[in-house]
Amino acid sequence: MASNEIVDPTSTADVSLRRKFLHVAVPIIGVLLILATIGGIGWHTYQATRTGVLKLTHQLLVSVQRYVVQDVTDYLGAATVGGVFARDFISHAPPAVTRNAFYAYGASMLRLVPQIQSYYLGDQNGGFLLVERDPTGKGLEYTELRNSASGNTFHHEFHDEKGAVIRVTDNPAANYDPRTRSWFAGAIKKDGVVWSSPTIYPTTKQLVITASTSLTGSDEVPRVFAVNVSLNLLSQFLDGLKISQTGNAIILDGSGHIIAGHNFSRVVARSGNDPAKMLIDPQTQPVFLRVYDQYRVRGVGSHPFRLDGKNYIGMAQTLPSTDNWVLLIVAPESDFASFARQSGRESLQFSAIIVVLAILLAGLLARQSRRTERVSHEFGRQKAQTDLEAAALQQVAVTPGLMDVTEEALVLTEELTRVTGARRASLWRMLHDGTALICDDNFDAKVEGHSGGFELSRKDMEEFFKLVDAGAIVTIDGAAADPRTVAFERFVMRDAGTRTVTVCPVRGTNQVGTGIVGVITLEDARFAPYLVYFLEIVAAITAVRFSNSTEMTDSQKDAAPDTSAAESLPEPRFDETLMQAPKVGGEIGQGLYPSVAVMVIAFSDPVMEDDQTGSKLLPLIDRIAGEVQDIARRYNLFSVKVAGHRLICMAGCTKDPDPTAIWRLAEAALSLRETCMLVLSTANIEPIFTIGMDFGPAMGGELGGNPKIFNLWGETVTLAELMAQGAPDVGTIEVTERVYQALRSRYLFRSRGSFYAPRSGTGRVYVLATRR
Amino acid sequence: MSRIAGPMLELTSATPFFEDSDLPPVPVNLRLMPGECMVIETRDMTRATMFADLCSGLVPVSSGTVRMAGLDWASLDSRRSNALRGRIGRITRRASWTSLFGVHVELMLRELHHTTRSIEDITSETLRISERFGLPGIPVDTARQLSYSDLARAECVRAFMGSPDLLLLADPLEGGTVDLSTPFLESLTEARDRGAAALWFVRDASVWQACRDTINAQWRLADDGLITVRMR
Repeated sequence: MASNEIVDPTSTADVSLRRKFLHVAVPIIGVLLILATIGGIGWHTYQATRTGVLKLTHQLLVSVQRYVVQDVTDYLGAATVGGVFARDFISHAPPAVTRNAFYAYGASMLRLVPQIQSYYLGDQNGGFLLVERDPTGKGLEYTELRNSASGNTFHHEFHDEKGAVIRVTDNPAANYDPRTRSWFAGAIKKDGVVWSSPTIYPTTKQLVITASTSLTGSDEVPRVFAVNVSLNLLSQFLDGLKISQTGNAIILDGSGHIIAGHNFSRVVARSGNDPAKMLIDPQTQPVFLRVYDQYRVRGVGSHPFRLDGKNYIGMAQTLPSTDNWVLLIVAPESDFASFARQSGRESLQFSAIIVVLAILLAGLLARQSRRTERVSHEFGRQKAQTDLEAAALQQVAVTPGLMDVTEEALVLTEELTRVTGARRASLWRMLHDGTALICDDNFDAKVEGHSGGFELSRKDMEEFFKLVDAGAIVTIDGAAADPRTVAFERFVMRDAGTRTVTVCPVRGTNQVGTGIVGVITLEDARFAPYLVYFLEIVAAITAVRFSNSTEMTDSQKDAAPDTSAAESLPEPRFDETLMQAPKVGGEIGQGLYPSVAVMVIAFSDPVMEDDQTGSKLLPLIDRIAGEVQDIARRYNLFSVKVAGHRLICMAGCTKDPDPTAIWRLAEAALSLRETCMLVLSTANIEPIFTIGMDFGPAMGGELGGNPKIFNLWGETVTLAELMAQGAPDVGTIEVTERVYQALRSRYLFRSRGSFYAPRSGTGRVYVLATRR
Repeated sequence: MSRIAGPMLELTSATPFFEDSDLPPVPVNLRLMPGECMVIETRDMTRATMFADLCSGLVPVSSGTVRMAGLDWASLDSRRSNALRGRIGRITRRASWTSLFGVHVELMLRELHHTTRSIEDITSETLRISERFGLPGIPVDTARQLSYSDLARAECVRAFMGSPDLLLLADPLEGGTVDLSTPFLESLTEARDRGAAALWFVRDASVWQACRDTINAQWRLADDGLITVRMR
């Protein structure tokens, strides 16, 4: 039933799967968790480091910004603070020395402050003074606008480094009027410093910016003091400023024009020396443009942003004392956080090493678990095998009459096949002179049938007997090819189609002495070293059993049919109901007969009860009856009776046991079966008959007056009838265990199994196949 | 069916809960090998039924184990324990016919539920066993419409259906109006030859004396638990 069960309760596949999952999946999941943990820690560390670095970067940039603002303020301080100082200095000078005071101050400042290009001083009356660097040397040039009748001229005095006059020149001033200049006009009516737009200074071709401030001298003449500051030096300063690896800064004026900054010369070149065109180029300066845009929207402060997949930190700050100038600083975030990324990368590499080690450990753990599982399975299998052997031995132990040679010991071969998985197991008993082996029992696990009685002669298979005499357990694959077993394979194994034989000699004691008393053969067994122990136990049991085999052998010899004795028996008697008038034989003994052989042939209904074909069948029945009479005479049966559909034959109705009776009846049964088969098949009728046989004591005697009728009854007759009724198939001869015991050495039997019979209890039933 | 190596039924110090079973709460030790038949005498067949329930894993134990085919009932989930019960053939004195269906359904229900056998196959087996037990065919009426004798026959048919591994048999031979001994003992012998183990609950020894040679052990179930009886 197990193979048809929907749920097999003994199945442990689910447990095995769960176990495999625990053994393999858990380590893998563990490694994955380690990976996830390391990744998470790495990411968190990177993020924390990055945040810290950005915060630090911001503070750093703020410091840089302050530093730049301070520097720019200082840079422009010459114009702003200097302008305030000059205004005060000049305005309080006496009119007579105003000119000299201006020159003295200007010369001094020009010598000390490199970014200052020149100083102007114009008054409301059209006067104009200029001090600037000598474009051709290291000295100074003083210029004064003089009025004369011939027109305005510029009077130039060139001084060397020590202040000595080198030369003096004049040149026409045309219509130059300082009062029309922007630096004068824009500042004359205002307080404080007024910045003009950047311009290209004509003499030095440098970008300069002019800061103007108005003053009124002691002569009450309004004047404007102006200073030109070079922006090139400011650009050089910003260029040299190390904000970060690639960070830059620029300064824009209030209208977005670049005043100074990184690569300022390119800006100048790009604009064609036109300050009005010095705007941020979106192509080359996109990051500054982004910061400037953010500044215009969000005002001063820090403005981090992302551009083209790269993070930047941008800052904007207006410059004090300027005309809304703004300082823009931009630095890539990676300049500051790169070390964090590098640190993260190294952490990842170390983590990868840890992960590889963890995977190796997990693999080892899984491998070890699987190995442990396999070992556990092996232990389980060995335990199951041990249990199987113990159960088999227990089954052997509880078998009654195991050591009695007159009893069957079928359990030995059955358990041998069960434990070893062999196709067939045989017990061979060595005849006392050692010249032959006789098969005590042979069990075929495939057909679940027992047989026995085969005899192997030493002269036919000398090599096999030598193998047995060697006394060792030997397994031979390909028995047909091995010279030691080739004869055994031919005689015994070929019918069953087996290939491998295991030979286990049985060492014991018999009448001759101690030695090999038999052999156990296993065909196609799954032989394994651990089965040796079990085989040796069974061999020992068999040896004890064989040690009592003397009587068996003798009785077998006595049981050989004595045909001469059978020939001396009187003619059979046929019951008058079918055959012929009774003729009472002199051998009849009234009462109990100790060993009567009874055969019942039961014909089934379709053959005998068909009314339409009854008349046609009558000649056929008559022919069968004639054949039965012939067979009965041939084997000297005692009586043949017909009762309805049954034909009852018996032999051995003598007071003394007749050893030939069962043999004669068996021969008669085989002949009768053959005859009936032939006759029925000739008439194209299915052979629908069954035969049952039993052998044992029975009650019998002549009954009634005239005519007297001989009848036999008792358990033997009943069992013979039961065998005939219960025969498994048509044409079969089913016999009791007693018949099997008596005939097994000369006929082949197939076991049908154990059955319960009323009053006789459980017994084995066999089917008589044929003669050996 | 291949025989199992170990015992088919094994009770190891199994102590049933008295409240659940009315069985004496004393440890029970019993070992029944495949092919063995053990007779348990008891005057109280209700107690026999409860003991059969204990062997079927239906009665919890306070200590010890009850194993069938090496499987501890307590360790099996319901799916597997139900499947294992499908391998038990029972004859019980407890009313065990639902009368919701015809007897033919109840006879075949276990095989239909637990196996993938074809209906034709199951029907064929049911018919065969039914005829063996003297029924003219498979009964199709409900149980309450059957005579006591036919119901006893049907009990036997149901017990031996499907080649059970374990037979828990409340004696069907006792007090019956028909003699079921021949088919019963035939079926029992056949099952034992196949490897099934049997517990045969009887009221007295007269029932099984005819086949005493084939009985492996005799026990008595009484108020003081399960005690062995020496076979004479």
